[in-house]
Amino acid sequence: MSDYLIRRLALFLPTALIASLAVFTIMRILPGDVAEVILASGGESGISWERGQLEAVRKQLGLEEPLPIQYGKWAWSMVNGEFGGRSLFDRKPLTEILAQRLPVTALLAFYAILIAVVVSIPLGVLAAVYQDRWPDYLVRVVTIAGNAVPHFWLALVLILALAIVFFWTPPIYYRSLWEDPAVHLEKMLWPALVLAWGFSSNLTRVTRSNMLEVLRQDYVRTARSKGLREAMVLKRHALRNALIPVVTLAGLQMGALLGGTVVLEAIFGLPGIGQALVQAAERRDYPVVQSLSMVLVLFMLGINLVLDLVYVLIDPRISYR
Amino acid sequence: MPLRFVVLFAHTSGRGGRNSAKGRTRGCWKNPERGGAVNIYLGGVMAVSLLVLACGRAGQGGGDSGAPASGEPKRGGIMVLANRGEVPVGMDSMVTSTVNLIHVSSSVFGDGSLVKPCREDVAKVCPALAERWEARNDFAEWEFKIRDGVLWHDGTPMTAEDLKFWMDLAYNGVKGDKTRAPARYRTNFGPLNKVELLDQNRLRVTLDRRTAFLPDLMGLEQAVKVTHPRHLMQKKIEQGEPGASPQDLGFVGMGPFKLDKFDAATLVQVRRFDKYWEKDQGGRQMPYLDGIDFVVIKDATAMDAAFRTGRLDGTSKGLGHVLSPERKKTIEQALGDKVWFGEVGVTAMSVNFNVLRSGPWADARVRRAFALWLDKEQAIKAVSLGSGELHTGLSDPWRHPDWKSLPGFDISPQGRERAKAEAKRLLAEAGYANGWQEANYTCRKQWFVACEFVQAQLAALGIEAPIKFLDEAQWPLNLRQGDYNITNGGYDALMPENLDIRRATQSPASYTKHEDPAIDAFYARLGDATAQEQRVATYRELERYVLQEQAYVIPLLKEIGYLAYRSHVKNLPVAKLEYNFNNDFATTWLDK
Repeated sequence: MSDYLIRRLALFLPTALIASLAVFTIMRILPGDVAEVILASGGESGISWERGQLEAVRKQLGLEEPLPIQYGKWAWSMVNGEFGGRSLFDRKPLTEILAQRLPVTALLAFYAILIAVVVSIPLGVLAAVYQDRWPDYLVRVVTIAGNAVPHFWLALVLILALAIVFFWTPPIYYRSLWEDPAVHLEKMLWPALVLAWGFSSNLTRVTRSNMLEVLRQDYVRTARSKGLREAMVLKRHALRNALIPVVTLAGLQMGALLGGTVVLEAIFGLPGIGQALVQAAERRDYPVVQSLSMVLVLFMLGINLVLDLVYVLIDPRISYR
Repeated sequence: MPLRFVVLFAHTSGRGGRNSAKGRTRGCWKNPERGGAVNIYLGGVMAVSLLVLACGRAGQGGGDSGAPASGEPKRGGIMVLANRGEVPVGMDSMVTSTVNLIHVSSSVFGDGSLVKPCREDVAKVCPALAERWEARNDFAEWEFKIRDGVLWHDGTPMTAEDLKFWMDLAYNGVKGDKTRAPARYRTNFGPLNKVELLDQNRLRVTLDRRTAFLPDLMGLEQAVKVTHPRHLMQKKIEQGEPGASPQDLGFVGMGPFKLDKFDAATLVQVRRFDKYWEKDQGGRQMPYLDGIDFVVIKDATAMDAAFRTGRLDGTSKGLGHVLSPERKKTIEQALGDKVWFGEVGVTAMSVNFNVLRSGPWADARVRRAFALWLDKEQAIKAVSLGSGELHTGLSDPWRHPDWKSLPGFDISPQGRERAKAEAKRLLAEAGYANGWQEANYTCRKQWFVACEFVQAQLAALGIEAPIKFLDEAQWPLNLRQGDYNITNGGYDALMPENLDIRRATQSPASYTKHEDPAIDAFYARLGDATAQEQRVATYRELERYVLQEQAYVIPLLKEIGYLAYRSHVKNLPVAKLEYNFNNDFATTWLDK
C-alpha cells in the first residue's frame, strides 16, 4: 500500500507540470491583455488613455519579460510559498486570495456533499426497496427535477420565494464558520441545498440502480432465506456492494460540483474561488487563473487518490501492490 | 406558519412602460416577458426555511420607517448599501475608476480634490480642499488657497505640499528603475507645466497654455481624488515601491469616513472620521452617520430581494444593478412609502466609426446617412425598454437649444420621413444605394442588445453586418488597435474636454478613430475661451460639426434608471447627470 501511495504521489508532479504548462499557454494564446483591461477599467463608457501609459503599466507588471521567464517566475512562486505571486489587476497576493476564497468554496462543496450523501443514499435505497411503488416514483420525480432544473434558476427562484413569501433573505454579510457559525450556516445553507439537489439526484439514481442489481443477487436471497432481518440484509450485504460505483460517481462529480459554485457564489454573495477564477479569466489576470487552476488540478488529483484508497475500505477484495 | 401553495413570477427582465421620474408610478404593471406566473410547490424548501426561521433570526421585514422626518439631522447609525462588485484591491483611482470603486472610495477620500462637484448641481464646481482659487497671467497660472485645519485620517495635518506631491505623482508618475505610470486621469490637470509651493497653504499651478476652466476639469471627473498621502508615499518610493496603492498606505484619506474593514470581495466598512473638516450650515460637524457598510452583492435579483426585506438601506450604483422601471415598480408595490427613488442617467450609448480605415464609413455622406436613418426613438424602446432618453453627448446648457429639431433627432413622423429620405439620397450619392457586406462590426459583449439593434437598422439599408462580440479583455485591445470599421461605445460627459472625440493619436482608446485637425482647432478655441458663453458657443459648433456634418459618432440613447433607498435615509443627494458624484455621504443621516 505504501508503495502504491508513493507511486501515485510521484505521478502528481508530472501531471501538475503538464497542467501548469497548458494553463499558462492557453492564457497567453487568448487575445486580450491585462494591462489594457486595467487602463480601460473606466466604467461603462470607457476612458481614453495616453500613449506611453500602456507601456508603463506593462513594464510595471513585468509583462514585457520573455514568456519562459514569466513561466519560470510563476512556477517558482508556486513552490516557494508565494503560490503564484500577485494578481496583476489589483496586486493582491495569491496567498491572500486563496486563504480568503478557498475555504468558502471548500465548505460550500463540503456542505453540499454532506447533504447529498446523507439524503441520496437512503433515498436510493428506499427507491430500490419500494421499486415501482409510490416512494420510488416520488424519488424519481425529485431526482429527475434535480437533473433538469438549472441550479442558477433554482437559486434565483429560491431567493425570490423567501423574499416574497416569508419576507426574509439570507444574510448579506459573509462570516466564516469560526467567526460567527450561526450567520455562516444561515448564509451557506441555501446555496448548499441548491447544489446538493443536483448532486444528490445523480447519486440517488445510481444508488437505486445498483441496489436493484445487488438485491437480485443470489447471496442476498440466501441472506433473506437464512431469516436475517431486512435491515441487516440491506446494510450488511447489499449496500456495501452497491456503493462502489456510487463512490466513483461521487468523486467524479466533485469536479462538476466545484464548477457549479461559480454562479451560486455570485447569486448568494459568497467570496469563493469560482467567482475569482471567472473574473480573473475575463481580465486575463494570468497569475490568478494559473494558480487557482492548479489548486483545482491538485484537488482533483487528491480526490482521485482518496477514492482509490476508499475502495480498499469498502471492498476488501481490492488491494494495491 | 402554514404551508401554502405559492405563485411566483420567475425573475426576468420583463418591462413595463416608462414611469414617472419620481414618486409613485402610474400605469399597469405588465407580466414579465417569459410568459407570466410559474407555480411551484415549495414544501421541502418551506419546511427547511421554517426551521431556519424558527432557529435563526427574525424576519427582516419592511420595518418601521422611524420617527417622522424633521429638519434637524440625527447623528448615528450605520447605513448599509449594496455594491455591485468587488472593490478593486488597493482602491487606487489613479489606476482604475470603476463604479465599484468610486461608490466606496469617495467616503474615504472625499468627493473631488482641490475642488469637487457641487452637491446641489454636479455640473458646477465648489471648493473642497482648496478654499478659493484665482487665475492669473491670462489663465495660464492658477493659485489655490488650501484649506487650513484639514487632517489626514492618521491625524497628520494636510498642507499644500501634500497636494503638490499628489499632483506631481498623478501627472508624472515615477520614473527610473522602478516605475509608476501616471494616473489615468492626468489629462484632468490640463496642460500642466509645474506645480509650485508658494507657502504652507498656497499652490501655484502653471500651465503650458491658458485654460480658463481648469477647476471644472479637475472637479468634474470622479476619479480625481487625493489618495496618496505624501508622508507615507514618499517613504514607499524611497523603499523602491512606487506602485504602492492606498491600501499599501493604510487607506489614509481625508474624507468624512475612515476605513474600518476592507474585504474587497464581500464587505467594506467605513466609520465616521470625527475630525473631518466640513461642517453644515448650522455649524454642525459632518458626517452624521456613524458609518457605512458597503456589501458586495453581484446579483441584481439578490440585491432587490435583500433590499425588500430590509437587509439594505440602499441599492447599488452601476450598470446592471441600477433599477429598471419594472424593478422599481415591483419594489414600490412591495414597500409603498417605505422607499424613495432617485432617477439617474446610467449609460449613454453611441455608434462610432473608424474613419481611418478605407471603406464606406470613411465617406461622411455614408455616416450622415446612417445617423439620419437610425431610429433613436425605437432604440429607446428596444435597447433600454423605454427607460431612456435622447441625448447629444453633453446636456444643457451646452447643447444646441433646438437640438430636438435637428436632423436625426427630430422624432416626429414628418421628421423621420424627411430623415429617411435624405439618408437614402446620401447613400445613393455615395454609391451605396444597395448597401454592402460590412465585415468589421465589433461589439463589447455587455452591450449586445444595442449592437443587435444597430445591426437590424443597418440591415434595413442593405448593410449586412455580422457582429464580432468581444469580452472585457479583448475589447480594449480592439479599441486601441482600431481593428473595426464600426462599433458601439459611450458618448457622454459633463464638459467638452471629457468627451471621447479626440484624434486617435492623442487618445488611442477612443471609440471614434479619426485624425481630423478641425477637432483640434475646436478644442484650442475651447481652451482659449475665457467666458462660459464663448465656450458654449464654441461647443455648439463642435457638436454640429461632429454630429451633423461629419457624423463621427451617433449618440444612440441615454439609459435612465433608479436608485432605491429606504425612507429613513435622509438628505442623500442623487444626481441624475452623473451618479458617480455625491458619494461621500457626508450629508446623509438615518431617521430611525
